[in-house]
Amino acid sequence: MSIKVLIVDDAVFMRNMIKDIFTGDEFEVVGEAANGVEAIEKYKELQPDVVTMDIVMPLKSGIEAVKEIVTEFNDARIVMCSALGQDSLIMEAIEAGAKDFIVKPFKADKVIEIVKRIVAD
Amino acid sequence: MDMSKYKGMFISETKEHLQSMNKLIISLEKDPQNQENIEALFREAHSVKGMAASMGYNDISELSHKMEDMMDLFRKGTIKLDSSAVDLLFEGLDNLELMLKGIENDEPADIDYSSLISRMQDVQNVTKSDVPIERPEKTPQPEVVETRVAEPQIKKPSQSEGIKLTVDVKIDPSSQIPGMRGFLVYKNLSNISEIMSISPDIESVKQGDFDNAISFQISTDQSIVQVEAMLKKMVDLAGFSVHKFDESVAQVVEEDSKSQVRKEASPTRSGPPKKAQQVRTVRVTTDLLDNLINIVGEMIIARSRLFEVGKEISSDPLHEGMVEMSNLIRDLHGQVMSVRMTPIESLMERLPRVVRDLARKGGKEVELAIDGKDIELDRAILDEMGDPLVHILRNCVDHGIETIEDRKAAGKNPVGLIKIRAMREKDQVYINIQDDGRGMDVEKIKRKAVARGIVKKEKFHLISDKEALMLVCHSGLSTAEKVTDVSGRGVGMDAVKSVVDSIGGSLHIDSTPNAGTIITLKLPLTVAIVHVLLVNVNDEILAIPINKIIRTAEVEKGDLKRSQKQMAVLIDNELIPLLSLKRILKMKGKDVLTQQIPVVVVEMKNKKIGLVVDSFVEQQEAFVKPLEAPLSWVKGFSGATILGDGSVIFVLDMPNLL
Repeated sequence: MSIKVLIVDDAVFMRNMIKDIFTGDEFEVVGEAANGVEAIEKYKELQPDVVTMDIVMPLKSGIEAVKEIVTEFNDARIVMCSALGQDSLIMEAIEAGAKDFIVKPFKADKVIEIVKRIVAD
Repeated sequence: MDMSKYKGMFISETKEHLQSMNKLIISLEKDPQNQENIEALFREAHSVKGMAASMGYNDISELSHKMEDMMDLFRKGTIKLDSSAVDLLFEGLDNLELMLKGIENDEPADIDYSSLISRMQDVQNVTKSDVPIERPEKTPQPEVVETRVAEPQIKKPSQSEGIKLTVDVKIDPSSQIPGMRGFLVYKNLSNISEIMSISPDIESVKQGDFDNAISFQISTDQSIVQVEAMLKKMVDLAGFSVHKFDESVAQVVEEDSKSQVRKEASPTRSGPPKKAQQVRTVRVTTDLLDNLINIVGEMIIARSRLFEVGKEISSDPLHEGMVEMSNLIRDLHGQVMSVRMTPIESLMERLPRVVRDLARKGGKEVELAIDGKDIELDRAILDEMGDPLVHILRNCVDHGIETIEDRKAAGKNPVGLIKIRAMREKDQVYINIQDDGRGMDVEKIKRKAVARGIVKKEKFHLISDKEALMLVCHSGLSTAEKVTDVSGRGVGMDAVKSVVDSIGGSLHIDSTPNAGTIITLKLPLTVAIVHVLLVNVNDEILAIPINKIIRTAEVEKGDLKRSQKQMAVLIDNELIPLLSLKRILKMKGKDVLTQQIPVVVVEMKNKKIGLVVDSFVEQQEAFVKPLEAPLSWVKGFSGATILGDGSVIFVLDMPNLL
């Protein structure tokens, strides 16, 4: 089975870039969401193995989305995608239940490593 | 990762972000309390930062980060968004735009933005010392963290039943945020154990204020192997050891993350991954759109050829099929054109800012009203119109709108008004730029034109007001203007006009002293495929773009009037001078005036002129291709198209025919 990934980011550019990391048979990008509200909807609908979640997004932040998703699905595996200088936000997200984080600029092998590890958990 | 393939996408998306930042800053200047806009602005800067960091554009990333920080303080109400703060944001935005432009042109902009950063920092520093309570989000209180972390601990044993372990971890110093990695270890350990002590303390770890080594003492019901297994799954650990609390020898397990991954990564599935996404919009490059229109253009030419051949074959099914195909091509053309259409709004977005800056510089107050933003134009045309519009506005503010005192003295509203209005009429779009300033001084323009030798002295009195106004588009008059620094480049009205002409549009100026000036741009909706009238001159077929034609007429030889050497004829109660297209194009042969003379009335150099041709042929859609050198050097032709019979015909370049 390939790892089902949901990509959440308000920038199409970032979504594409992350999507390109998850090519190959090991992964399947099952959906994309552009804000926290969509992320929650898509999570319920698609039940992905892992979510890459941006933090700062319109309508609902990534942190809020993590909180809501984890409340309903306590085994949700969410990796926060963040920029440097957002330590307190990442920390908040991890406390809310995010499993790990990646920092822009993303290194493809690192992202894959992190995702695989948290899925194997 | 090869980043080059993302570059185009990065540029176009960042541009959009910068444009909306621009809009937001302007609206915030008017309504600084609008929390929604502040949030949006924060997010925009944040997005730019993240994208730039991903691409390795550190200057953009750093500057937008600083702006994001400022906006964070606006969000919290710590900084007041006054005009000096707005100026700083605008300055930041300008720099970002320049940096982006540099990336786009492959000439990295060497911008020293250090002073800007430090001025932004100053604003933040002042605020921080003033209102220290405003920063709880940056440094969470330790107690709060502890309790929050403690909550989800399900497997945590009571101290009495667990074993006590010492866990030493070493964070990979090359990881991006070592402190955060340390915190993640802390978090994961606290999920399976009770942390009795940690050294250094968790706050120092979070702040990154440690030498990458952390030592925990935990109490857990998990075995050493289980704890090790958990740690093995974590990335960015240079090494760790887990041993009983009182054990003296540490058992160091060196992490080899790579082999770990390989073991876990055995592919379990074959075949291509399923695509199960609902795609509402896609982003395509403009190159692709250009290719599409080229293909449709070629299809139109092929269609003409088929029709030409089909005329000789009498077959109903063939003709029916051709009509059907023809309809489909027309539909396809329509669809492709509609994909290329972009609301004019994208062009107008930066204008309020331009006007604001110009007005501030000139000590004037100017309001800009924009109407018809949703009118759509071909992307290729919009791309061309940016600089010309800015220049026209610059003229309006610099030269049109008076100073506040002058306006008061003239009994006008001290705030000047510039109205931009876009309207669509058939396959043309009109953009009106109207100011309520002092208007243009026709006599002064005429005198200047004579002084510069553009107009002969003896012709001074023959120049109509309308012609005089158009003289400002003459290169000899317009480029002499002082170039202000706002729009950056010194495009004059001549450049504006030549851009408008080159895309098949036209420009008109109307001005009333003390009431203001109206500049009207008439633009075609699309490029490339144009409606043309085919005319015959000297047995040569030529194409005239329909949008340049006012009307056609067949005039009686007897109605011709002659003044000196110039022939003219009365059409629609207007005396229209006649010119021979044959002579203009320096073709051989003399004009033989038949009884009925076919005349194409066009507008050239703001004058109506009747072009005499030998005969009208037909109207047609033509896919106009630009001419390559050396043909492009020939004056009077803007391109060529291919007729149904395979013959190549030239399309007249109306603005430059004379």
